[in-house]
Amino acid sequence: MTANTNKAFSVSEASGRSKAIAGALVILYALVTMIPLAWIFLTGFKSPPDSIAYPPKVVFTPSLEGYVNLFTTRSRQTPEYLESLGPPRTWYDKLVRERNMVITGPSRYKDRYVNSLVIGFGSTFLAVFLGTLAAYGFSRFKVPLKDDLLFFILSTRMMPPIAVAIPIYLMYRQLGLSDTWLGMILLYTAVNVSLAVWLLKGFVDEIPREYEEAAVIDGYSRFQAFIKVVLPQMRAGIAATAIFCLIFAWNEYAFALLLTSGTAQTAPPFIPQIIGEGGLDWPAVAAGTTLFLVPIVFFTVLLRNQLLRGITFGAVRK
Amino acid sequence: MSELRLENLRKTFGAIAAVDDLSLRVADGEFVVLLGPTGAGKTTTLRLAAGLENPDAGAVFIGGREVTGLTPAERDVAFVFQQYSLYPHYTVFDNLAFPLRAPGRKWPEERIRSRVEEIAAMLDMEHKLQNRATQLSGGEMQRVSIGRALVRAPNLFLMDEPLSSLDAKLRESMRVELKRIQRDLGATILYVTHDQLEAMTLADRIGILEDGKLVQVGAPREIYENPVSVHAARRLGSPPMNILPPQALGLPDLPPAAAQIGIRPEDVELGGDSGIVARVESLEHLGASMVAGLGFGNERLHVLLDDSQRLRRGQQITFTLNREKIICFDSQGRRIDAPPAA
Repeated sequence: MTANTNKAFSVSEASGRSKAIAGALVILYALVTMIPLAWIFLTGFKSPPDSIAYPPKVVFTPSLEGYVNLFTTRSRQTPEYLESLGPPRTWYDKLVRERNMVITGPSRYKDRYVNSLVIGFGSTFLAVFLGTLAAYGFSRFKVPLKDDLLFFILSTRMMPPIAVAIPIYLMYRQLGLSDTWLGMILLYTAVNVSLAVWLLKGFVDEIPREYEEAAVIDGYSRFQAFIKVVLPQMRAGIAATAIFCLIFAWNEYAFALLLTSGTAQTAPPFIPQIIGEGGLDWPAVAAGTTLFLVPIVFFTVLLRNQLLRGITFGAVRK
Repeated sequence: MSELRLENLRKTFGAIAAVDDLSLRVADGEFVVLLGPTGAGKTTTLRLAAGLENPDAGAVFIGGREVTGLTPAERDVAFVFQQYSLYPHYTVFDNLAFPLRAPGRKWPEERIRSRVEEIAAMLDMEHKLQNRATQLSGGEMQRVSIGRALVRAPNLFLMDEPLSSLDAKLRESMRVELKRIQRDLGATILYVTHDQLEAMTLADRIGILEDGKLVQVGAPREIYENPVSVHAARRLGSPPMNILPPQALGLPDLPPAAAQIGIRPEDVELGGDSGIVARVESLEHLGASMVAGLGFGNERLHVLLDDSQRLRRGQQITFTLNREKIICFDSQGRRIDAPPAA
C-alpha cells in the first residue's frame, strides 16, 4: 500500500482507495436494483397468505403453489365432493386439494408466453434485419437528402410511442390488425427500426470500405462482399442492437394492453390480471414474472461478450 | 502478366479534377511508381485502373483489351491497400484463400490449399497460417496482404502505399522483399507512394504527379538529373534540390528567362577563394555524410558533404556551384532547356 501511494499518476491503474470506493458503489447500486427482483423471485415460492403477510415474511416455507396456480385454472369444491374423488393422483393435485379446490384445466399463461416469444423475437428479427440493410445503405451509398432522412428516422423516437396510441388503435381496427401477431410485430418493428438504423449505422461506418473493395477486386459481388466481409464484422453491433430491440418489445405494456385482448395478447398485460381467491394471486403473479424474465436473461448472457464490445459502440475496437 | 495502358484519363470530384488527362503505359513486367504529394491524384489513378472508379473521360487497357467500364473482377487485377486489407474474422489461411474462393473461380479446396501453402512459403508465413489476422504484427499483416494479391496470379498489381503504415526498419526490408518478388514473378506493378526513397529504389520508371497531371515519366536517374520542373526536381533527392533566385548568386550568362535556378546539394563545393561567402547555420550528421545549411543574404542552401569536413555552426565559409549541374527554370517553374553558357 505504501509503495503504491508514492507512485506517479497513472491513467491505467486506479489507486487502491478509489477502487474500493468504486466497488462499494457498484455493490450498493446492484443491491438497490436487485432487491425487487429477489423479492419477486421469493414471492413466487410463497403461499398466498405468506405473500401478503404483514410484516412481510423473509423466512417462509417454500411452496410451488404460485407456479401451480399460474399454469392452471381451479374451482372450489365441497369437502364431500373432494372425498368422493379418491386420493390425488399428482403432487399438484394434492397441493390444490389442500385449499379445497380441484384443477379444471390449464391457464392461458402458456399461450400468452408463446405470443410474447413470437412477437418479441419476430419484431426484433425484423427490426434488426431492416435496420442492417438501411444502415448499410445510409453508410455506403449516396442517398439524396441523407441527413434529413436520418433525422426523420430519429425523430420518430422523440415522442413516447404511446402518444400515437389512439390513431394506431383506430387504424388497426380498420385494417384488422388488432389482436394479431402480425399487427404487434409490425408495431414493435416500426418503433425499434429507428433505433436499429442509428445504432447499426455507427457500426457500418467503422468498417473501412477497403474491405469490400478488396473483396470486389478479388471477384466477389457487392452483395457477397456484404455477407462475407461486412456482416461478420457487424456481429457485435447486431447483437447489441438486437438486445435493445428485444428488451423493448418484450417488456412493452401499454400497446399490448390496448391492442391485444385475446389471441395475440402478450404476457405483460396478462400477468397482473391473474386473479386468485380474494383478489390478486401474488405468488402466481410473481411466478409469472420470474418465468417471463428468463428469455431476456438467457439471451443477454448468451450474447454478453458481443454486447460488451457492442455497447462501447466500437470505441475501443481496433 | 499483362501491360497496362491508361489513355487520357480524367476524373473529377465536384469542381476538382483529381486526375486530369493522364496517359501512362506500364509495360509487361515493369514496375512503375507514381510519386506525388497527398491529393495529387495517385490513389484515384490506381482506383481508375482497378475499376473502383469510372473515369469521366479516357480509357483503360489491360493486356491490349479495353476494360473501361468493366467491373474490378472482370479486369482480374490485384490491389494492395495501404491498410485494412486483412479480414479480422478470418485466419491467415482463409485470408489468403479468400480470392481463390470467389464464386466465379470454382477452385477445388485441395488446389486452393496447395496454392495458399505455396504463397505462404514464399512469404515465409507457413507457420502462421492458422493464426487469426488480428494476431499478426504489422509487417506480417502487410506480407499477408501482399500474399493475397499474389495467390491468384492476376494480370497486374496495383499497390496503394502498401508500406506506409510500417515502421522505417520494416519498410526497408519489405521494400527489398517486394522488389525480389517482383523480379522473380516478372510482375507488372503500378505502385503509388509519396516516399521518394521507395520510388527511387523500387521503380523501373517513376511518374511524377502534380495536381492530377502526370508531369514527368522516366527512369529514376533520368528524372533526378533532368527534371522538367521545379516540382519534379524537388520530389526526388534528400535533401531536396536547392531552388534559388539567380541574382542572389551573381551568376553571369544565364538565359534571360531564368527566374529560378536549381542545384543539387551534392553539386555545391565548399572552400576556394572566389566563392560566395556564407555562414554555417545548421549541421545534420547522417553517418557517412552530413548536410550543412548555409545562409547568405536572405537565402538558404543545403550542401551534402562527406562527414570528414570539420565545420562549426556560425562559421564563415565560401562556396561555389558546379556550373554544369545548374538547372534553370522560368517563372512558372518550368525547365529552360538552354544550358548556361560555359
